[in-house]
Amino acid sequence: MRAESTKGKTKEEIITAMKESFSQIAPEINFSEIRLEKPLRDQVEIDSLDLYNIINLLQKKTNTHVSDTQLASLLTLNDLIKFLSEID
Amino acid sequence: MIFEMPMPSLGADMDEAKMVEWKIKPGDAVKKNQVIASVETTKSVIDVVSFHEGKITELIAQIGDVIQVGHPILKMETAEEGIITTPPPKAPAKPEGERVRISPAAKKLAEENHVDLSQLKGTGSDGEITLKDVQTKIEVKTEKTYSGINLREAIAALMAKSKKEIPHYYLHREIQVDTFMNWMDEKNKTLSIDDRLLIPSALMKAIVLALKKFPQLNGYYKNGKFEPSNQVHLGIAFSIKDGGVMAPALLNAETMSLSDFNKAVLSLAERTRKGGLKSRELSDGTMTVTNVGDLGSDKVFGIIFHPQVALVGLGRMRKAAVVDLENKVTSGFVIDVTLSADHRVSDGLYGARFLNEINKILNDPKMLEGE
Repeated sequence: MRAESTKGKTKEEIITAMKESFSQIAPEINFSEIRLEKPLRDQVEIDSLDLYNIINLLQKKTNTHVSDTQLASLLTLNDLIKFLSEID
Repeated sequence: MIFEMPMPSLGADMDEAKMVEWKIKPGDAVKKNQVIASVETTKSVIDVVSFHEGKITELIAQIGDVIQVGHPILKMETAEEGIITTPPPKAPAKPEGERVRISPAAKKLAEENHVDLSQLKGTGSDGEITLKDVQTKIEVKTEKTYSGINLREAIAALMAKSKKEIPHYYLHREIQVDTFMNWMDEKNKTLSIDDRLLIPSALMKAIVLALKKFPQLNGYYKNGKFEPSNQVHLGIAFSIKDGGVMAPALLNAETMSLSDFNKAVLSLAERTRKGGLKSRELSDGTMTVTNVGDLGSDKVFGIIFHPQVALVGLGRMRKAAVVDLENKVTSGFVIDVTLSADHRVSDGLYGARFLNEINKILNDPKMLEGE
């Protein structure tokens, strides 16, 4: 299953998709207070099930596939944005 | 025969419950394990299922009634034979005068704070004394609650009992999971986003498979002896949005494929947070798993949920230095797995072999697809 490229999607578009994903799955988290450059887990309390649902929704919105190995190496939202924007 | 169904015990420390909703009426036919009512305990609002098949003839308990465990809640006509009916336990002698109507949570708080109920005027329906009435009297702030009931107090009581009664031993093993992660990546590439397997689900499936080979860690310690269970009802600790933890059981986990197990975990998580848990899911866990890796902790040596005999802890999956067979240092994914177990039932060698089995499964992940 090959994902469509996200090249061409701006950082802002990816952030908007992230914000929408957080809002749907974990509405109690104020996305605007999250620092993109800091590890996510140091800023918010979020369990693996919620995080997984957020990532799944984000993948649907950006039409991408992020493997578990890749995901485990991404600590900040900037890491994830950079990764998504460079998928071929 | 006409049979009186009693209020079941839906937890180790449950003495009574308040009837909040009937889901059937006289004349209805019910099947075994069909949900027939919702009751409120000190822990939560729980669904009660019918233990027999038959036709409802009378609803004995009324909405709002507080019924002790063992006391009848309905009458049912059934063709089943061999139903053993035991007389309800003797209710404690009631003081003379008017019967006090009070919810279980309010009664518990009042007892703990030595509140004289005869001095309280209830503001609930039919003059029932509510939790708020007791709180107002003793000016106690409730901590975070779930369904209006103080979950924190229920957890405190259960954990104190476990720590007092169960002689725990503890083990830890760091497991390399690169092979497992690569297998998950390849597996998930073949699945749609909605069907993707979760890493925590696959890790828990490995625990279920290992438990089938180590029965001394799966069951209950009751009345001075261990009762092993043929089924694996895996308790999974979930954080609740308002605070606290609940650990409902994923029933008959040993019969499920990896895919079905994954879906069952997601369903259980959703129903834990939004309501809709079945009574057996709250009372029948045979062993529990807690995942502290979500919040960044590497390992946990947890307290066993009485009357179970073991608890497995999963830590944070992380990159670490690993030394391969040629003594080369590289980096790889590892996870710390811990075991807390009841020393009356098993010993450290047995527990160590159990952790070895989990390691073996995670390093040969196609075993996860076995049942």
